[in-house]
Amino acid sequence: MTAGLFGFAGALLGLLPLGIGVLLLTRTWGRFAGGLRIGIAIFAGAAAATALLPPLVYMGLSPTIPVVLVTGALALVAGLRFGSRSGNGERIGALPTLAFALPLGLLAARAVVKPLDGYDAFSTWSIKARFLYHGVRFSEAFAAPSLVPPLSRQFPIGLPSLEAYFLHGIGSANFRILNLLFVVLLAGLALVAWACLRPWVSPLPLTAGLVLLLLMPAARDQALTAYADVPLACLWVSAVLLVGLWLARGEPAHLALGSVFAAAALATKRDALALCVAFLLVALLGRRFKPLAAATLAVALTTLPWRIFSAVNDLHDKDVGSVSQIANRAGDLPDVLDRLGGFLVEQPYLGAVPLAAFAAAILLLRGEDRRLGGAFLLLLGLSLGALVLVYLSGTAGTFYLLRSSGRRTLLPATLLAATLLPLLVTRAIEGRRRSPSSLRR
Amino acid sequence: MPALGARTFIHSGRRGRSATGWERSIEASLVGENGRTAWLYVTLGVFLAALVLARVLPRGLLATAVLVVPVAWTINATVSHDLTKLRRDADLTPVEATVVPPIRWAGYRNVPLLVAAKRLVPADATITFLPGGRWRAQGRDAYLQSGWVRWVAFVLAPRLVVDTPKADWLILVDQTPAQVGVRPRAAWRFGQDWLVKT
Repeated sequence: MTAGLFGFAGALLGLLPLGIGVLLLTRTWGRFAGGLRIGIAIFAGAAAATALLPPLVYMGLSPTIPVVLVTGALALVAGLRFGSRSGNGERIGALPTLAFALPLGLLAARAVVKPLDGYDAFSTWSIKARFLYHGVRFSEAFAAPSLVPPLSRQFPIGLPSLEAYFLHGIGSANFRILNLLFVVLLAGLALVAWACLRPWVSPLPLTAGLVLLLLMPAARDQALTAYADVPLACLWVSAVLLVGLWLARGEPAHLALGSVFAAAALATKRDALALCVAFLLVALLGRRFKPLAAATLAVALTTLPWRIFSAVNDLHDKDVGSVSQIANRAGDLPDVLDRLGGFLVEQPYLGAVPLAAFAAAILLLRGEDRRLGGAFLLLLGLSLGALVLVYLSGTAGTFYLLRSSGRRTLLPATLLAATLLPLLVTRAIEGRRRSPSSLRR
Repeated sequence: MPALGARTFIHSGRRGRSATGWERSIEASLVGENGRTAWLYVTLGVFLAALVLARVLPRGLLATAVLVVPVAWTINATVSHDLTKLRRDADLTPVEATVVPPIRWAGYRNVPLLVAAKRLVPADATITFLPGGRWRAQGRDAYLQSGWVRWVAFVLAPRLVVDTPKADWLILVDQTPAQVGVRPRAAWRFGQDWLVKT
C-alpha cells in the first residue's frame, strides 16, 4: 500500500512537465503563483493527458510513464521556447488551503480503502483502464463487436487512459489507490475556481463556497464510484470558469487554458458534447466571435482521432435514440422534469442549484450583473435541457435510465452551480458591482 | 443475435445497471423524517435575511453565512457517513475487496473458481463460458451478457473473455467436461462449475 501511494504521488509529479508546458503555452503560467500554480499545473497536466493519451493509444502506444514524461518534456520545451512566464499571479493563502485540505483529506482516506463496486465502473471504465495498463491493444480488447465485455465501446477513452497511466505509477492494478485520482480532480476544480473567482470574491465567502463544493455529499460519494461523471464535471466546470474569465477580462490566455479543459471533457464522456455546445451558445452572447471560433475549432479538432477511430471500428452510438423517439416520448417530459427537479433539492446536493438560481434571479431582477445572472441561468437551463433530451432519447427506457443514473448525470450542472455559488451569492448581497481591486484590501 | 449496446446486461441483482448504491445510504444518513427540505428553506431564509441586512452588516460575512448554512446542517452526517464507510471498507480482506462481486446476482457467484482462474490462467489467454444445467433454458447469449460475466471479465483482465465457444480456457457452468464433450488438458472443479484448460 505504501509503495503504491508513493507511486501515485510520483505519477502526479510526472504530470507536472506536461502541466507546466500547457500553462506556458497557453500563457497562463504567470496568472497563478506559489502552491496554486503547482496545483493547477498538475490538474492541467491531467487534463492534457486525458486529451492527448487516447490518440497515442490508437497509434499503438500504451499510456505508460515514459510516454507521459516524453509528451510532457516536449510540451515543456515548446512552452519555454514559445510560451510566456509574465503576469501578476493569483495566490492561495494558508487558511483556505487548510480549509480545502480537511474535507479532501478525509475523502482521500476513504478513497484508498474503497473497493471498486459500481456497475459501470467495472463493466465500462475501469476494465478499459486495466486492459490499457496491461498493454492489451485497444482494438483487440474492446473495439471488436462481442456479446461479452467490455461493453459501451462507444465511450471515449480519455479517463481509462489517464487511469492506466496512474496504475503504472502505482505499480499494480490497485483500484483502491487509484480512487485518489478522483479526489485530485475535485481538488483541481477547487483550485481553478479559486484562481478564477478570487478577483471578484473576497477570501472568506470564496473559501466557504468552495468548502461547500468539497463537502457536498453527492460529489464526494460519486467521486469514489470511479464513474466518469465527476471527472467530466470537474473538467467541464473548469473550462466554463476559465472561458468565463476570458469573457469578463478579455485575456486570451484564459480562453486557451479553458479550451484544454474543454478538450479533456470531450475525451472523458459523450455527455460533454451537449455540455460544451450549451456553453458555446452562452459564450457566443459575449460577442467575441473570432477568438471563440478559433478555440472551438481547436477543441473540435482534438475529437477527430476518436471520431476517425470509432468510424473505422464501427463503434456506433446504439444507445442513443432518434429525434422521432424524443417526439414520441414528449409526454414523459413533465415527469422527467419533476424527477430531475426532485433530485436537485435533495440534501446530498446541498441546494447548490436552487440557491445559485435564486441568487442569479435576484441579479436579473435588480438589473445589476444581468450578464452574469442571465448567462448562468441560461447555461444551467441549456445543460439541464440537454440532459432531458438524453433521457427522452435513451433506448433503455426513460424512467429506468433516470432512476439508475439521474442523480449522477446531474453532477456537471450541480458542480457548476456550487462553484459559482460564492460569486452569485456575494454579488446578490453586495447589490452593486465592486472592482476587483477593492477586494484586495 | 441481440443488438450490442442496446441490451447491455441481465439484471437479477439488487441494483440496476448504473446505479451506484450511494443514493439511499447517503440520503438516509442526511435526512430525518421531517427534514427533507427544511434545510433548504432555512438556507433561503438566511439568504433573504442577508439581503435585508446588507445595508448594516459586512456583506462578505453575510455571504459567508449563507454559504455556511447547508454545510453546517449536514457536516455531522457527512463526516459520520465518511467514517462509517471508511471503517467498513478498511475491514475488507483483499479477496473481498477485489474478487467477491459487489452485487448479489442471484445464482451467479463462484468466488473460489474466480480466485483459481486468477492464479492459473495466463495473462494472455482467452476464456469463455459454457453454461449448462439450470442455465440451459436461459441460453448462452443471455448468460454472457449477465452482470456476473462482466464482473469476471473485469477481475480476470487482461485475460480476454470472448463470446466464441472455443477459447484457451473454458468455464463450464453447472455441467461437466464429459457433458460438454471436451477433453481437457487440465480441469479443476469448484462446486457445480469447472475450470478447464483446453
